[in-house]
Amino acid sequence: MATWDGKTRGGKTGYGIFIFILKHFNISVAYFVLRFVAFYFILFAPKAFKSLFYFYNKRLGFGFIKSMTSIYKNYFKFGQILLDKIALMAGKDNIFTYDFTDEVHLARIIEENTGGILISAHVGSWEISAKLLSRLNGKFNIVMMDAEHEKIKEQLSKVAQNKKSTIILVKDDLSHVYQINEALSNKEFICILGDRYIANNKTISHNYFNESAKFPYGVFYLAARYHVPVLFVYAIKTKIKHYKFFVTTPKYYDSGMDSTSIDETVKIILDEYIENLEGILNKYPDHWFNYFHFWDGTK
Amino acid sequence: MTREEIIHQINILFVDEFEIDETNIGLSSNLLDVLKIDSLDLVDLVVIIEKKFGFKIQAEDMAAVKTVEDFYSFVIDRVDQQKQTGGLSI
Repeated sequence: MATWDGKTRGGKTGYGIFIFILKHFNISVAYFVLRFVAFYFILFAPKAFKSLFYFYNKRLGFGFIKSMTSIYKNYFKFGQILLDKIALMAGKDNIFTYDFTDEVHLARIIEENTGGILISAHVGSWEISAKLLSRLNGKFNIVMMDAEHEKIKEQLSKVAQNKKSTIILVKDDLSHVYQINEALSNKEFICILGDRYIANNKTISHNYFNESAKFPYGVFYLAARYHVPVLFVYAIKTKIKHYKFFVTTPKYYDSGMDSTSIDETVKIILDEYIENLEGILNKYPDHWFNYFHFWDGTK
Repeated sequence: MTREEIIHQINILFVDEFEIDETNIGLSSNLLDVLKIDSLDLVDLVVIIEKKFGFKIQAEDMAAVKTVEDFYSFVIDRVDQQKQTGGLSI
Protein backbone atom coordinates (compact mmCIF):
# COMPACT_ATOMS: atom_id res chain seq x y z
CA MET A 1 0.00 0.00 0.00
CA ALA A 2 1.26 3.43 -0.87
CA THR A 3 1.69 5.68 2.12
CA TRP A 4 1.40 9.39 2.11
CA ASP A 5 4.78 10.79 1.12
CA GLY A 6 4.66 13.55 3.68
CA LYS A 7 4.25 16.28 1.12
CA THR A 8 1.25 18.29 0.03
CA ARG A 9 0.64 19.29 -3.57
CA GLY A 10 0.12 22.86 -4.66
CA GLY A 11 2.36 25.23 -6.59
CA LYS A 12 3.16 28.78 -5.62
CA THR A 13 2.30 29.99 -9.15
CA GLY A 14 -1.19 28.60 -8.87
CA TYR A 15 -1.63 30.25 -5.52
CA GLY A 16 -0.32 33.49 -6.95
CA ILE A 17 -2.84 33.48 -9.78
CA PHE A 18 -5.76 32.92 -7.47
CA ILE A 19 -4.55 35.52 -5.01
CA PHE A 20 -4.49 37.98 -7.91
CA ILE A 21 -8.05 37.07 -8.87
CA LEU A 22 -9.26 37.40 -5.30
CA LYS A 23 -7.55 40.72 -4.92
CA HIS A 24 -8.83 42.30 -8.13
CA PHE A 25 -12.18 40.56 -8.56
CA ASN A 26 -14.09 38.42 -6.08
CA ILE A 27 -14.40 34.88 -4.92
CA SER A 28 -17.18 34.01 -7.35
CA VAL A 29 -14.84 34.82 -10.23
CA ALA A 30 -12.18 32.69 -8.61
CA TYR A 31 -14.64 29.81 -8.28
CA PHE A 32 -15.48 30.20 -11.98
CA VAL A 33 -11.82 29.95 -13.00
CA LEU A 34 -11.46 27.01 -10.67
CA ARG A 35 -13.95 25.03 -12.73
CA PHE A 36 -11.37 24.80 -15.49
CA VAL A 37 -8.48 24.18 -13.12
CA ALA A 38 -10.38 21.20 -11.71
CA PHE A 39 -10.41 19.67 -15.21
CA TYR A 40 -6.65 20.20 -15.40
CA PHE A 41 -6.13 18.07 -12.31
CA ILE A 42 -8.35 15.32 -13.68
CA LEU A 43 -6.00 15.07 -16.65
CA PHE A 44 -2.63 15.78 -15.02
CA ALA A 45 -2.85 14.24 -11.58
CA PRO A 46 -3.14 10.55 -12.45
CA LYS A 47 -2.25 9.17 -9.01
CA ALA A 48 -4.83 11.36 -7.32
CA PHE A 49 -7.36 10.50 -10.02
CA LYS A 50 -6.78 6.79 -9.56
CA SER A 51 -7.06 6.96 -5.78
CA LEU A 52 -10.26 9.00 -5.94
CA PHE A 53 -11.79 6.72 -8.55
CA TYR A 54 -11.06 3.77 -6.29
CA PHE A 55 -12.71 5.56 -3.38
CA TYR A 56 -15.87 6.47 -5.27
CA ASN A 57 -16.20 3.38 -7.46
CA LYS A 58 -14.97 0.59 -5.19
CA ARG A 59 -15.56 1.88 -1.70
CA LEU A 60 -18.66 4.02 -2.05
CA GLY A 61 -20.04 1.85 -4.84
CA PHE A 62 -20.69 4.63 -7.34
CA GLY A 63 -21.08 3.70 -11.00
CA PHE A 64 -18.52 4.79 -13.57
CA ILE A 65 -20.15 8.09 -14.56
CA LYS A 66 -21.02 9.06 -11.02
CA SER A 67 -17.46 8.25 -9.95
CA MET A 68 -16.07 10.49 -12.70
CA THR A 69 -18.37 13.39 -11.84
CA SER A 70 -17.60 12.89 -8.17
CA ILE A 71 -13.89 13.24 -8.86
CA TYR A 72 -14.52 16.53 -10.63
CA LYS A 73 -16.71 17.72 -7.75
CA ASN A 74 -14.01 16.68 -5.30
CA TYR A 75 -11.29 18.70 -7.04
CA PHE A 76 -13.63 21.63 -7.34
CA LYS A 77 -14.56 21.44 -3.66
CA PHE A 78 -10.93 21.15 -2.62
CA GLY A 79 -10.04 24.14 -4.76
CA GLN A 80 -12.91 26.16 -3.34
CA ILE A 81 -11.80 25.40 0.19
CA LEU A 82 -8.24 26.50 -0.63
CA LEU A 83 -9.61 29.74 -2.08
CA ASP A 84 -11.78 30.25 0.95
CA LYS A 85 -8.72 29.86 3.17
CA ILE A 86 -6.90 32.52 1.19
CA ALA A 87 -9.91 34.83 1.38
CA LEU A 88 -10.11 34.36 5.14
CA MET A 89 -6.42 35.05 5.55
CA ALA A 90 -7.00 38.26 3.59
CA GLY A 91 -9.61 39.25 6.14
CA LYS A 92 -12.67 38.60 3.98
CA ASP A 93 -14.64 36.93 6.74
CA ASN A 94 -17.96 38.43 5.69
CA ILE A 95 -18.08 36.38 2.49
CA PHE A 96 -19.04 33.26 4.37
CA THR A 97 -21.65 32.15 6.83
CA TYR A 98 -21.14 29.50 9.46
CA ASP A 99 -23.11 27.08 11.52
CA PHE A 100 -21.46 26.86 14.92
CA THR A 101 -24.27 24.87 16.58
CA ASP A 102 -21.99 22.02 17.65
CA GLU A 103 -19.46 24.29 19.33
CA VAL A 104 -21.50 23.95 22.52
CA HIS A 105 -19.80 20.55 23.03
CA LEU A 106 -16.39 22.17 23.01
CA ALA A 107 -17.47 25.22 24.97
CA ARG A 108 -18.74 23.03 27.78
CA ILE A 109 -15.49 21.20 28.37
CA ILE A 110 -13.54 24.45 28.10
CA GLU A 111 -15.69 25.72 30.94
CA GLU A 112 -15.04 22.51 32.87
CA ASN A 113 -11.30 23.08 32.37
CA THR A 114 -10.50 19.51 31.43
CA GLY A 115 -8.52 20.04 28.25
CA GLY A 116 -9.04 17.42 25.59
CA ILE A 117 -8.02 15.83 22.33
CA LEU A 118 -9.65 16.91 19.07
CA ILE A 119 -9.21 14.42 16.25
CA SER A 120 -9.99 15.32 12.65
CA ALA A 121 -8.98 14.11 9.20
CA HIS A 122 -8.15 15.42 5.74
CA VAL A 123 -11.86 15.88 5.22
CA GLY A 124 -13.30 19.32 4.74
CA SER A 125 -11.09 22.11 5.96
CA TRP A 126 -8.90 21.48 8.96
CA GLU A 127 -7.52 25.00 8.71
CA ILE A 128 -10.97 26.59 8.67
CA SER A 129 -11.76 24.57 11.81
CA ALA A 130 -9.25 26.94 13.39
CA LYS A 131 -11.94 29.60 12.97
CA LEU A 132 -14.12 27.64 15.36
CA LEU A 133 -11.27 27.35 17.79
CA SER A 134 -10.57 31.08 17.69
CA ARG A 135 -14.09 31.77 18.96
CA LEU A 136 -13.49 29.80 22.13
CA ASN A 137 -11.46 30.47 25.23
CA GLY A 138 -9.43 27.31 25.25
CA LYS A 139 -5.75 26.94 24.40
CA PHE A 140 -5.27 24.77 21.35
CA ASN A 141 -2.11 22.97 20.29
CA ILE A 142 -2.13 21.87 16.67
CA VAL A 143 0.04 18.79 16.13
CA MET A 144 1.41 18.45 12.65
CA MET A 145 4.14 16.64 10.78
CA ASP A 146 7.28 18.57 10.12
CA ALA A 147 7.36 17.29 6.57
CA GLU A 148 4.18 19.11 5.52
CA HIS A 149 4.47 21.74 2.86
CA GLU A 150 6.01 25.02 3.95
CA LYS A 151 3.12 27.16 2.87
CA ILE A 152 0.75 25.19 5.02
CA LYS A 153 3.03 25.83 7.99
CA GLU A 154 3.08 29.49 6.99
CA GLN A 155 -0.70 29.62 6.98
CA LEU A 156 -0.89 27.86 10.29
CA SER A 157 1.78 30.12 11.73
CA LYS A 158 -0.73 32.92 11.26
CA VAL A 159 -3.17 30.90 13.30
CA ALA A 160 -0.48 30.38 15.89
CA GLN A 161 0.05 34.11 16.16
CA ASN A 162 -3.26 34.06 17.91
CA LYS A 163 -2.17 33.33 21.44
CA LYS A 164 -4.87 30.73 21.77
CA SER A 165 -3.06 28.38 19.39
CA THR A 166 0.36 26.80 19.26
CA ILE A 167 1.85 24.46 16.70
CA ILE A 168 3.56 21.29 17.91
CA LEU A 169 5.78 19.77 15.24
CA VAL A 170 6.31 16.01 15.24
CA LYS A 171 10.09 15.58 15.31
CA ASP A 172 12.58 12.75 15.31
CA ASP A 173 13.94 13.77 18.71
CA LEU A 174 10.45 13.03 20.17
CA SER A 175 10.31 16.47 21.80
CA HIS A 176 6.70 16.71 20.67
CA VAL A 177 5.83 14.03 23.22
CA TYR A 178 6.87 16.30 26.09
CA GLN A 179 4.98 19.22 24.55
CA ILE A 180 1.80 17.19 24.14
CA ASN A 181 2.11 15.87 27.69
CA GLU A 182 2.63 19.35 29.10
CA ALA A 183 -0.30 20.77 27.13
CA LEU A 184 -2.68 18.11 28.40
CA SER A 185 -1.34 18.50 31.95
CA ASN A 186 -2.15 22.21 31.65
CA LYS A 187 -5.74 21.36 30.61
CA GLU A 188 -5.14 22.55 27.07
CA PHE A 189 -6.32 20.93 23.87
CA ILE A 190 -4.41 18.83 21.40
CA CYS A 191 -5.68 19.02 17.80
CA ILE A 192 -4.48 16.17 15.63
CA LEU A 193 -5.37 14.36 12.42
CA GLY A 194 -6.17 10.66 12.57
CA ASP A 195 -5.98 9.65 8.92
CA ARG A 196 -2.31 9.78 7.94
CA TYR A 197 0.89 8.24 9.13
CA ILE A 198 4.51 8.36 8.05
CA ALA A 199 6.22 5.13 7.05
CA ASN A 200 7.82 3.22 9.94
CA ASN A 201 5.44 4.67 12.51
CA LYS A 202 3.18 2.24 14.31
CA THR A 203 -0.18 1.80 12.64
CA ILE A 204 -3.41 0.00 13.35
CA SER A 205 -5.60 -1.56 10.70
CA HIS A 206 -9.34 -1.21 10.65
CA ASN A 207 -12.12 -1.69 8.18
CA TYR A 208 -12.91 1.59 6.52
CA PHE A 209 -15.70 1.60 3.97
CA ASN A 210 -15.54 -2.20 4.07
CA GLU A 211 -11.87 -2.64 3.35
CA SER A 212 -8.89 -2.71 5.65
CA ALA A 213 -6.89 0.50 5.92
CA LYS A 214 -4.11 1.65 8.24
CA PHE A 215 -4.42 4.49 10.69
CA PRO A 216 -1.77 6.11 12.92
CA TYR A 217 -1.76 4.17 16.18
CA GLY A 218 -0.18 7.04 18.11
CA VAL A 219 -3.12 9.41 17.67
CA PHE A 220 -5.55 6.99 19.25
CA TYR A 221 -2.98 5.89 21.82
CA LEU A 222 -2.82 9.45 23.10
CA ALA A 223 -6.60 9.49 23.36
CA ALA A 224 -6.54 6.18 25.27
CA ARG A 225 -3.58 7.04 27.53
CA TYR A 226 -4.68 10.41 28.85
CA HIS A 227 -7.98 10.54 30.66
CA VAL A 228 -9.30 13.62 28.85
CA PRO A 229 -12.37 14.18 26.68
CA VAL A 230 -12.00 13.16 23.05
CA LEU A 231 -13.94 14.85 20.26
CA PHE A 232 -14.03 14.44 16.49
CA VAL A 233 -14.13 17.73 14.60
CA TYR A 234 -14.75 18.62 10.95
CA ALA A 235 -15.46 21.83 9.04
CA ILE A 236 -17.62 20.96 6.04
CA LYS A 237 -18.51 23.32 3.20
CA THR A 238 -22.19 22.50 3.04
CA LYS A 239 -23.18 25.28 0.62
CA ILE A 240 -21.38 27.52 -1.83
CA LYS A 241 -20.36 30.02 0.87
CA HIS A 242 -21.41 28.29 4.06
CA TYR A 243 -19.52 26.08 6.49
CA LYS A 244 -20.85 23.82 9.17
CA PHE A 245 -18.70 22.70 12.05
CA PHE A 246 -19.36 19.16 13.14
CA VAL A 247 -18.19 18.42 16.67
CA THR A 248 -19.05 15.21 18.46
CA THR A 249 -20.13 15.02 22.07
CA PRO A 250 -16.99 14.82 24.22
CA LYS A 251 -16.27 11.35 25.49
CA TYR A 252 -13.95 9.93 28.13
CA TYR A 253 -12.40 6.57 27.39
CA ASP A 254 -11.39 4.59 30.45
CA SER A 255 -8.46 2.28 30.07
CA GLY A 256 -6.35 0.48 32.63
CA MET A 257 -2.62 0.94 32.94
CA ASP A 258 -1.62 -2.33 31.28
CA SER A 259 -0.86 -2.42 27.59
CA THR A 260 -3.69 -4.84 26.79
CA SER A 261 -6.32 -2.53 28.25
CA ILE A 262 -4.90 0.48 26.47
CA ASP A 263 -4.77 -1.43 23.20
CA GLU A 264 -8.41 -2.38 23.55
CA THR A 265 -9.31 1.23 24.25
CA VAL A 266 -7.35 2.33 21.18
CA LYS A 267 -9.48 0.01 19.10
CA ILE A 268 -12.68 1.37 20.61
CA ILE A 269 -11.71 4.97 19.91
CA LEU A 270 -10.63 4.14 16.38
CA ASP A 271 -13.87 2.28 15.84
CA GLU A 272 -15.88 5.34 16.83
CA TYR A 273 -13.65 7.68 14.86
CA ILE A 274 -14.17 5.66 11.72
CA GLU A 275 -17.89 5.35 12.25
CA ASN A 276 -18.11 9.12 12.57
CA LEU A 277 -15.80 9.71 9.60
CA GLU A 278 -17.75 7.34 7.37
CA GLY A 279 -20.95 9.11 8.37
CA ILE A 280 -19.52 12.47 7.38
CA LEU A 281 -18.23 11.18 4.05
CA ASN A 282 -21.39 9.29 3.18
CA LYS A 283 -23.16 12.61 3.47
CA TYR A 284 -20.40 14.78 1.94
CA PRO A 285 -18.38 12.46 -0.34
CA ASP A 286 -16.74 15.36 -2.18
CA HIS A 287 -14.81 16.25 0.99
CA TRP A 288 -12.36 13.31 0.94
CA PHE A 289 -8.93 14.88 0.40
CA ASN A 290 -6.46 12.01 0.77
CA TYR A 291 -5.17 11.79 -2.79
CA PHE A 292 -3.26 8.54 -2.49
CA HIS A 293 -4.27 4.90 -2.27
CA PHE A 294 -5.58 4.71 1.26
CA TRP A 295 -6.42 1.03 1.61
CA ASP A 296 -4.32 -2.03 2.30
CA GLY A 297 -5.45 -4.03 -0.70
CA THR A 298 -4.22 -3.83 -4.27
CA LYS A 299 -4.88 -0.63 -6.17
CA MET B 1 13.41 9.41 49.22
CA THR B 2 17.18 9.35 48.88
CA ARG B 3 19.07 9.77 45.65
CA GLU B 4 19.87 6.06 45.59
CA GLU B 5 16.24 5.12 46.16
CA ILE B 6 15.11 7.35 43.30
CA ILE B 7 17.66 5.81 40.94
CA HIS B 8 16.61 2.35 42.06
CA GLN B 9 12.94 3.16 41.41
CA ILE B 10 13.79 4.49 37.95
CA ASN B 11 15.81 1.37 37.14
CA ILE B 12 12.93 -0.84 38.25
CA LEU B 13 10.71 1.13 35.89
CA PHE B 14 13.17 0.66 33.04
CA VAL B 15 13.33 -3.09 33.68
CA ASP B 16 9.62 -3.71 34.24
CA GLU B 17 8.11 -1.39 31.65
CA PHE B 18 10.75 -1.49 28.93
CA GLU B 19 12.27 -4.93 29.59
CA ILE B 20 15.80 -3.59 29.84
CA ASP B 21 18.58 -5.65 31.38
CA GLU B 22 19.72 -3.52 34.32
CA THR B 23 23.35 -4.34 33.61
CA ASN B 24 22.97 -2.57 30.27
CA ILE B 25 21.98 0.74 31.82
CA GLY B 26 25.07 2.94 31.48
CA LEU B 27 25.12 6.43 32.95
CA SER B 28 26.47 8.05 29.82
CA SER B 29 24.27 6.07 27.44
CA ASN B 30 21.67 7.96 25.42
CA LEU B 31 18.37 7.56 27.26
CA LEU B 32 16.22 6.81 24.22
CA ASP B 33 18.80 4.39 22.79
CA VAL B 34 19.09 2.45 26.04
CA LEU B 35 15.36 2.11 26.39
CA LYS B 36 14.89 1.47 22.68
CA ILE B 37 11.68 3.40 22.85
CA ASP B 38 9.51 5.06 20.29
CA SER B 39 7.19 8.00 20.82
CA LEU B 40 4.46 5.84 22.32
CA ASP B 41 6.85 4.35 24.86
CA LEU B 42 8.02 7.84 25.72
CA VAL B 43 4.41 8.82 26.43
CA ASP B 44 4.28 5.89 28.86
CA LEU B 45 7.58 6.88 30.49
CA VAL B 46 6.46 10.45 31.03
CA VAL B 47 3.05 9.49 32.39
CA ILE B 48 4.50 6.86 34.75
CA ILE B 49 7.28 9.12 36.06
CA GLU B 50 4.80 11.93 36.73
CA LYS B 51 2.50 9.56 38.59
CA LYS B 52 5.24 7.77 40.52
CA PHE B 53 7.14 10.85 41.66
CA GLY B 54 4.26 13.33 41.77
CA PHE B 55 5.55 16.18 39.61
CA LYS B 56 4.67 17.52 36.17
CA ILE B 57 7.25 17.33 33.41
CA GLN B 58 7.61 20.49 31.36
CA ALA B 59 8.77 20.18 27.78
CA GLU B 60 11.55 22.73 28.14
CA ASP B 61 13.07 20.78 31.05
CA MET B 62 13.58 17.73 28.87
CA ALA B 63 15.58 19.50 26.17
CA ALA B 64 18.75 19.02 28.21
CA VAL B 65 18.01 15.41 29.15
CA LYS B 66 19.98 13.21 26.81
CA THR B 67 21.66 10.49 28.85
CA VAL B 68 20.52 8.13 31.56
CA GLU B 69 22.49 10.19 34.09
CA ASP B 70 20.73 13.36 32.90
CA PHE B 71 17.43 11.65 33.47
CA TYR B 72 18.35 10.49 36.97
CA SER B 73 19.52 14.01 37.82
CA PHE B 74 16.36 15.56 36.40
CA VAL B 75 14.06 13.35 38.46
CA ILE B 76 16.18 13.76 41.62
CA ASP B 77 16.15 17.56 41.23
CA ARG B 78 12.39 17.66 40.73
CA VAL B 79 11.75 15.42 43.73
CA ASP B 80 14.00 17.69 45.81
CA GLN B 81 12.10 20.76 44.61
CA GLN B 82 8.91 19.07 45.57
CA LYS B 83 10.18 18.42 49.10
CA GLN B 84 11.12 22.05 49.44
CA THR B 85 7.78 23.34 48.19
CA GLY B 86 5.97 20.77 50.26
CA GLY B 87 3.73 19.41 47.56
CA LEU B 88 3.11 18.84 43.88
CA SER B 89 5.57 20.84 41.84
CA ILE B 90 4.45 22.16 38.49
